Amino acid sequence: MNKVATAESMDLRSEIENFLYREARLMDQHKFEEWEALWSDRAVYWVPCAHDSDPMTEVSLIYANRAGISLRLGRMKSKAMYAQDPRSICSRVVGNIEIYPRDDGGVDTYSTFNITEFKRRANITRQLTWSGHSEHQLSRHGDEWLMDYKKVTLINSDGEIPALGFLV
Amino acid sequence: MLTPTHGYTQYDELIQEDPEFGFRINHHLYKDEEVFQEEMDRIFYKGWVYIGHETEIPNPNDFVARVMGQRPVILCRGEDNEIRVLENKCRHRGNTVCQEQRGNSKFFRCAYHGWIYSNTGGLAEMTHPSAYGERLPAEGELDLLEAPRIGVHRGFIFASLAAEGQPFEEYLGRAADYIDRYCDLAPDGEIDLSAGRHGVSYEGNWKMQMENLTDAYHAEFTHATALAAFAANSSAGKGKFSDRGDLEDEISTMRDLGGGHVVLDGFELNRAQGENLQFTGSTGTLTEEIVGKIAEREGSREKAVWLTHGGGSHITVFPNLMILWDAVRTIQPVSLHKTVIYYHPAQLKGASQEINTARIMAHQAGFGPAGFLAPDDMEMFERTQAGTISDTDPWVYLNRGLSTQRLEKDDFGVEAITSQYLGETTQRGVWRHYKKIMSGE
Repeated sequence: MNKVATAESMDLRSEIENFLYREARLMDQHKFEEWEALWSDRAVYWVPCAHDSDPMTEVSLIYANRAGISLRLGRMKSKAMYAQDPRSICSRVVGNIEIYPRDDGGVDTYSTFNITEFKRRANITRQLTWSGHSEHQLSRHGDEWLMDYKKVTLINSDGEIPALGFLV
Repeated sequence: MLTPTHGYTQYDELIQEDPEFGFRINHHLYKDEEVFQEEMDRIFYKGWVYIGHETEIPNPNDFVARVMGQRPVILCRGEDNEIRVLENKCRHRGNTVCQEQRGNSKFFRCAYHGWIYSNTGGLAEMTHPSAYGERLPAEGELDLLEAPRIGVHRGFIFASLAAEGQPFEEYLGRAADYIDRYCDLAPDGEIDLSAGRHGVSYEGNWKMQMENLTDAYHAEFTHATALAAFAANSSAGKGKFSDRGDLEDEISTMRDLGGGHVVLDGFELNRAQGENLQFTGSTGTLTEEIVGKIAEREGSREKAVWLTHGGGSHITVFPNLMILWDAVRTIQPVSLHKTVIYYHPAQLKGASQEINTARIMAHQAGFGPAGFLAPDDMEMFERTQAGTISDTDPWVYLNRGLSTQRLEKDDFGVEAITSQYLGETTQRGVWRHYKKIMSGE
């Protein structure tokens, strides 16, 4: 893994980093349609509950295919999703990005994130932090990268956590 | 202002029934520290509470860490295969002795001074005992404290920290029928809670969830987006959220079983709807698997159809157990203003993995911190808590269905106080029992 960088590998890194940063911004800004467009039809979106769990036999926070993602976003777009009314104001930092090119031309990535969420309700305000790491599998579709797989592991996923109403 | 006597809250002033105004409760109940501490004592320490399920500790030496009221405990199956609830507290300096959430261990060791307890509660090793000299504690004197009473029904484990009090069977009362029905819909007659759990926290009082599970009234509004999503997704929502129309007005569903146990009894409604296999999580070919296996067990296809089309129980068992659809839930009060809800998906023993995976998926689509339903409930609880700060009118009137409720036989042929779908018979049932317990009756 400790290979010397080439111009080509630096270009790839820059492309993938841009993808992850852009994805982070779309999630912060609740741009549901643009975020949905980052998914390929093979989509598997997984947010485990217990670490090292099997999504088929153990409960997850989210486990969705392409249709499930659409269904989830359809609800999130509505003003009547009261857990996000008004929507959280989010700011996240994505870092520690590792990129592993695959033989099929795609890449696997590992990155960490820190999200600060601010909520305001009537007489109450609350600021929360969320932290964890993401594992992406990206592939080329024409001249763009799309997500085939995304696994998000929150550091406190199997703990007691408040409603998670925004995108991770 | 309320006038405390004997230093205790006067619950008959906070929960009132009167021909003039009907039934009302005071917001004070959600925001007073003294009330919360009295609840811990009278409900969670003196009464029976649900603590866990046998399938979470299937083997000798298995344990899970739990909290009873606010007290850390260990629910474990000892080397001797006996189930116990041990206080998670060293008898020397009071340190917690078990830090893991679950595991398998014969011993629990206090790291502070090295005292070791066996998983049957006994003090197995006290380090350097000679320093006690003549004051060496007697054998058994400093064992881990143990809940003196345990009650198990169909795998559901309840415990009481009081040595004496209401017998377990009497406490469980009519809730037993509904727990039985839930288990009977598994081909082997047992559920399995080993698929992990979600923990969702909210900044509000624990009783908001206690009242909410059998509040049919809120679903149409709080859960509008979830209902729309599930209706649009036939595989996840078939028979579950379809429009029931006038059936809800015609068929009685809200029942007060006594003892604080209340149900949203949807059995007849589900059967009248023609098809409803919401409990089994099965659709299409999977439906036949469940019906077929239960028919074989019961020796009657007719009975199997009657059972499965009635669906699962939808019950709140006072004070902290709730059963609905694909999961078993517990309420964990953390403090006056903070609560955690744990959701354990319930797999059906004897069903195929395909069905149980479908159940896990259906559960997590709805519940957990990122589900389609739970976050909106938590939001409402937090808004209720935020509103209780205003004392100008502290009363909540729970009069829906009060003038029309009556005694009616339920699915088990037993009479219960009953009202129509949108009645508040269930809330009144919980509060009446609460008042009785909290008043020391």
